[in-house]
Amino acid sequence: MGPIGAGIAVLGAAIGIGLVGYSALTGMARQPEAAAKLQTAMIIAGALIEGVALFAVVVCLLK
Amino acid sequence: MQEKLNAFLEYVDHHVMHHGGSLDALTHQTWLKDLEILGHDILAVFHFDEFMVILVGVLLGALAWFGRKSIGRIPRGFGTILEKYVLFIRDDIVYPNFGGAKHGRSFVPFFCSIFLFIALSNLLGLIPLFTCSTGNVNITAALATIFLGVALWGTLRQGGAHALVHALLPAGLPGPMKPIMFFMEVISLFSRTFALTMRLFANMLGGHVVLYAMVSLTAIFGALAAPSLAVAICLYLFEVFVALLQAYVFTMLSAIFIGMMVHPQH
Repeated sequence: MGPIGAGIAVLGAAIGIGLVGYSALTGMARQPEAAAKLQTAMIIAGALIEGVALFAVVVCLLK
Repeated sequence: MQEKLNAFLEYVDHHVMHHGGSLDALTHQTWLKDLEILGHDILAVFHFDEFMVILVGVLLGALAWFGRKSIGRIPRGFGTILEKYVLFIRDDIVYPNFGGAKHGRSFVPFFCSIFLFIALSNLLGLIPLFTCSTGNVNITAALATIFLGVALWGTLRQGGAHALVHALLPAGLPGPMKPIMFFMEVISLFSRTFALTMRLFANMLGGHVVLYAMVSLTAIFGALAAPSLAVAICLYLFEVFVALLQAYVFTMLSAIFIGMMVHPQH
């Protein structure tokens, strides 16, 4: 079951990171002068989502 | 055939993972032992990562030795690179989160060293024959514990006892809410520490496991698995990026968390 669980966890993370990337790109396209700030915020949000996904993957590997 | 395959897997396993066991050990819960930070297995876990940490320490010491000429004067040569790096940490990571130089200045050395330590450990872990010390949960737990200590001690030093109380208990709460919110704040402080530990550890270990899986396919399928080798090379280059990104993320997140405690009105 471990690999299946890892796959499900990655599904959620993919949706989350996809949404972050989508909105950051939209924001950058509309306001190129804010690109640097948006990029920092995007990386931080991505890292937080990724952290949760990695918890799930580690739990899957443990079992 | 089977023996050759096993020998190859052993070799790859040894140099890609090097976490005190084979892939079997990884999947069969033996590295649950690694999570026993206070258990008696610490020496077994540290058998090679310990060396990597010492190596990183020596390299950072050498960096400081070569950069020492630039202290207190206009930097030249190597010093200009160090100056750029310190300015990047100061102006892009520390000051925006600490609300300027008043609170942030004394934290700059901490973030400079933690970024360099993690980036160097991650990058050295990508060199063949070396292991990635940040892929060991004990070492990332130690880093996150340092973060916890700096958060509490720094808040106490920068803002006094008042700021520490304020960081753990938001102002303007009605009486009955106070113990609940205090409890929540303490829990969130520890969960941030735990999240920093697991994020760095799982990222670095995960990258190495994926590389290992890709390379192992060549041992199982032979020449048929040549594309997986190409994928492995691409993943390796991606790992170089991830190594620097994770160092940035760890530094940035700890700056945000400590900044929120030291400089709460931000």
